[in-house]
Amino acid sequence: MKKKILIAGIGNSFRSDDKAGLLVCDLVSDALTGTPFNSLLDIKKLSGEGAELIDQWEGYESVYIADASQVSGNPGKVTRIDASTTPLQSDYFHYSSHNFSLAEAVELARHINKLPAKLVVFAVEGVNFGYGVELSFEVQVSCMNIARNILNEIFYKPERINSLF
Amino acid sequence: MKNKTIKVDYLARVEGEGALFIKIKGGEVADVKLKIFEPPRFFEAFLRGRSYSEAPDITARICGICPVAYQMAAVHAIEQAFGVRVTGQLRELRRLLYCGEWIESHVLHLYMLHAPDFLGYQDVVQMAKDHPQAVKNALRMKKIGNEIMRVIGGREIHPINVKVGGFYRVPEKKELLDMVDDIKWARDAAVDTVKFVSKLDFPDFHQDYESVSLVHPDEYPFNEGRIVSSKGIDILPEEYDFNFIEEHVEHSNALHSKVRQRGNYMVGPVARYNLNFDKLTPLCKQAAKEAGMGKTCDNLFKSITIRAIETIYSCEEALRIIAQYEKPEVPAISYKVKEATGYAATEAPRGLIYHRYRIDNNGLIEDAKIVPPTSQNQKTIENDLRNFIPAHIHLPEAELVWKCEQAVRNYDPCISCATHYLKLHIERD
Repeated sequence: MKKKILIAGIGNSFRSDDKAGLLVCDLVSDALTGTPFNSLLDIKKLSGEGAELIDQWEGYESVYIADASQVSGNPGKVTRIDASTTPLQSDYFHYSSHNFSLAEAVELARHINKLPAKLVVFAVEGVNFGYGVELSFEVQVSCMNIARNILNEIFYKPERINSLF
Repeated sequence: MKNKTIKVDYLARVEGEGALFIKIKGGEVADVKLKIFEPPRFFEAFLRGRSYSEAPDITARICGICPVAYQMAAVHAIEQAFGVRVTGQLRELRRLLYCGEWIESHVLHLYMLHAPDFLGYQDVVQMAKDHPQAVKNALRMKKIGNEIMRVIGGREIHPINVKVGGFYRVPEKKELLDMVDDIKWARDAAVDTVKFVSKLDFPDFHQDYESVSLVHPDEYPFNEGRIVSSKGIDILPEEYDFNFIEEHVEHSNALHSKVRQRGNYMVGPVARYNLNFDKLTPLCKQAAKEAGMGKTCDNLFKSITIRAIETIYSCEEALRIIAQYEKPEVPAISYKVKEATGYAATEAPRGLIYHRYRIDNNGLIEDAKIVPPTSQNQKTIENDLRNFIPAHIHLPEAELVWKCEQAVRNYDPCISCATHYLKLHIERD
């Protein structure tokens, strides 16, 4: 039976803070390993290509997405957006292939009725998107907070979730 | 409005970082520069000293939209160096992998990036409000192309199953048969797509292009053939460097290509169509005829129609390959590493790619050359704008900028590949 919850991280492992969404996936996966919660949800690392995103979240009731957002002077700042009800700004996220990325995918899916019932986006503001595999300290800390917040939202048992980290 | 500078700081709906600068002086176009400022990625440099066996996977990383073309050019060049000839079902599987890439890339460009230009929408999100079914169909077609890439290439983006001599793993027949119903649906949807795009309003813009593409005696070209031009070139891939040169221009981080002692040329779907119309299937030719297309095309705005025709072809070719497929006994043929130089040209969705590798007797790459489609088209894109703007110079600035961006998108440029993003600047003095 298909699982009802998807946690998706978007990013590029070789572009520094752009890797943030992928780190959130790793943190959630590590936290759930060996627990009964592991079988309740899917975790996917994605490139952020818009058509792929719509395809990947199809069939899930609840989708949580973590992605890096553009630099605007608040490194590591986390923004939670309930994309089920709130439009995403197209210039907010780091650009991806052919300019059809997360924001466009969400808005396109909204028009063609392919948006999951619940879609929550956690965006963390990056510092450096240059070539490299290291994330900045502020973004790493924020990724841990995002992972914890996603699990809290899913399981509504903060004390149990905190014990996983 | 005799003197003006039009500047597009970031050309949207293209891959990579670039800008467009147009200067109009005395009512005439004085300067056009496609400025590619995405930093060079130095793929050719960091291939040096690496094993030949790493080249297919490293070069697949050049592009997330057309990784197969880079990967194929790499394996074909290395196989040519080692004297390896991949034939039979292994060769057919490579063509099938190509079909997947052409379907996903062409559908992405024509529906998500280019059609909104013709229909007057800011982007595909706005277009989806009025054309939801067309967009849903496009997403399904793209998914089918991606699925072919996953089954043959191991994954949808940056496939990892191709190796020198063949593949790491070859699929069972059932894995291919499971895709047949979807591919038949995609073929029919592509026929409908040709009808959809043929009704678009195309600017009356005809140019004397030198079309350059692969030509193969028996098939519409993917990964094998001679490099042929509409103005007389007919050469093997190993003769590429004698006929084409790359030069650095100050305003671009991507090298400009030209035909030696002649000038700019054009690669891509229109060039392929112009030189290979007779190799298309009867269904493709029928769709082209019903769309009002001749055997050749000199209006690049109609590249959207040709991408749709090539999507039909890719689906039909995929179905043909699957129907005759028998799983090969071995996933790859054996070969001997030797000191040699290998050359290959393949057809990415957006045009010809050329690779050259010099390999030492330990199988290490001493030198590599990679020429992507967009760098070959840069001069022609600038020429198109120089010739296109005068008839539209009277338009309000926002509309003129829109038309210029549309003309650039005719080429589906992939700037990341070429440098390995786009800004437009029109200046009227």
